[in-house]
Amino acid sequence: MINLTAVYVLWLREMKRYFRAKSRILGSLAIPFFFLAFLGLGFNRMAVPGVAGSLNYIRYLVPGIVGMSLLFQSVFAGLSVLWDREFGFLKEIMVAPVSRVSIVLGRIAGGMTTALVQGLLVLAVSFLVGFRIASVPGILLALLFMVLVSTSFIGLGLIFASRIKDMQGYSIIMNFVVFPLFSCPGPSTRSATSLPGSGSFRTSTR
Amino acid sequence: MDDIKVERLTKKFDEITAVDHISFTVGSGELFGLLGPNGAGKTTTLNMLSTLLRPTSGLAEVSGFDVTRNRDEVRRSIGIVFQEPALDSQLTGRENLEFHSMMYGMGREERRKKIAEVLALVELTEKAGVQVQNYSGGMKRRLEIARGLIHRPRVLFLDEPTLGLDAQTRRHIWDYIRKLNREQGVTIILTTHYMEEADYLCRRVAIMDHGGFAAIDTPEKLKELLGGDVVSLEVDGDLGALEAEFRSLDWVKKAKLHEETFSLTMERGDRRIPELVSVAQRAGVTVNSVNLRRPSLEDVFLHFTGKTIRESEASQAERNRAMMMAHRQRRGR
Repeated sequence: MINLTAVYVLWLREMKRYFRAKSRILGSLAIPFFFLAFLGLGFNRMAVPGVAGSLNYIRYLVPGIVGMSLLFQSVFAGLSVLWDREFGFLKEIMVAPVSRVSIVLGRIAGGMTTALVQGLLVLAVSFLVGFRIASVPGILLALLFMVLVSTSFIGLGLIFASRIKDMQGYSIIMNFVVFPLFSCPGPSTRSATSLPGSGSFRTSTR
Repeated sequence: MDDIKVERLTKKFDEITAVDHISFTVGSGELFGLLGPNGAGKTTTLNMLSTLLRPTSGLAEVSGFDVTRNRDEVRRSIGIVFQEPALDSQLTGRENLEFHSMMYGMGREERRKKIAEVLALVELTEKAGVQVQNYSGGMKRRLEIARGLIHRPRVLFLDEPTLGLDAQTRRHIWDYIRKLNREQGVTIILTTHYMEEADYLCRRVAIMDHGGFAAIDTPEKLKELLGGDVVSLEVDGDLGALEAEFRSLDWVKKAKLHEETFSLTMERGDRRIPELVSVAQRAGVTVNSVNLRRPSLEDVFLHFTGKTIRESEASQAERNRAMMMAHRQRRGR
């Protein structure tokens, strides 16, 4: 049922495309970087309600920004299905004699890897503004959560992308799903800051 | 043994019937053409045969497998070259072929051999390492044809294989298609709205218009149905007398006079020209020029649909526009 070669080749294609599009990598790093630089350094001195006084704001912010870039990268994985439809390549995939499950898994694997790479790049950038990792088990656990977050949002993206045929419609609907998620300070930063490894296990309880 | 068997195949999109109860068979190793204007339902038919679309009703079998129940088996036995490019332009030519052959479960050694082989066939070996976005239209087309062949399909679908290509590349691709069919015995079904393409390549042609078949036969037989060649004579003199003279000849099937030119329909026109000229001379009429035209598929299309292929396309565009307007009005309400 699951054709591993097909999963692998779809994943490989995504990797080649990702690492060839340098502008895409740099471009998608720009927004997290500005968030970190402006919000992070700007609010660094401020006491955030619900955050323990001892907690550095950068430490509070970075996991959220990582989560945000995972989210956007995952939405992008759904969008790439629509791009493939637009450029005809989707047909090439759909006529291949492999199970549809393998195709979805290949997409998820590819999207998840790029999201993970992106998340790690953001993490690397955050070192520039003074973020530090608390512990090794913590970062491993964080990686696990990054995998889970990106996988579930790619899944969601793929569901929408297989139903919605036009890109604008997809973007609007995904914005509708994603934007509240990342802008509501309560639930989103709570889930994002619960990413261990940042040292901020305690979050706002209100 | 038939590689394609289609019975009363129908596809409806909302109220629009794109393909309307068509039936045909294509034998193993045959080169079969679907000829018709844009919007006639050719691509929809191919999409159903290649499992991309589910038929609304009717039966279709490809190398003995049902296209709705045995989709994987069908997919395994076909290759398809789509009308619009279906390449990943950020990958190189070779990577596109690698992707395809891996999707079809070919082993490393076999892959390497077949990719080299098909690249040589379409003369793209030197460009294999270049990203497809830097290819010309003709190169992309050739790469796609190469891709359709890697996994040795029994049946190859070509959807408008030479659309928008220059004359030289078109000739090239025609020769590949013929060679493929003759030397490898691949069954080929191609759609086209170029008359000369169907005429040059196909052993049998189905003329498609408004989702149905207007006729299906060999190009020669279809042309014969029109009654043979058309000989035009441009003359000077007593035209009325000559017309009566021509009409009395029993091998002249049709005689039409337009200004100073006679159009005469007959079989084996090339053999009748001397006789026609001497008839004219006997009637005291000077023949200024003689022109022999063999009927083309264009004439056949005209004969069966009452329209030239271009007129049919124009009316199709109008139909689409009317449909869109109706749709908008309904949504507006």
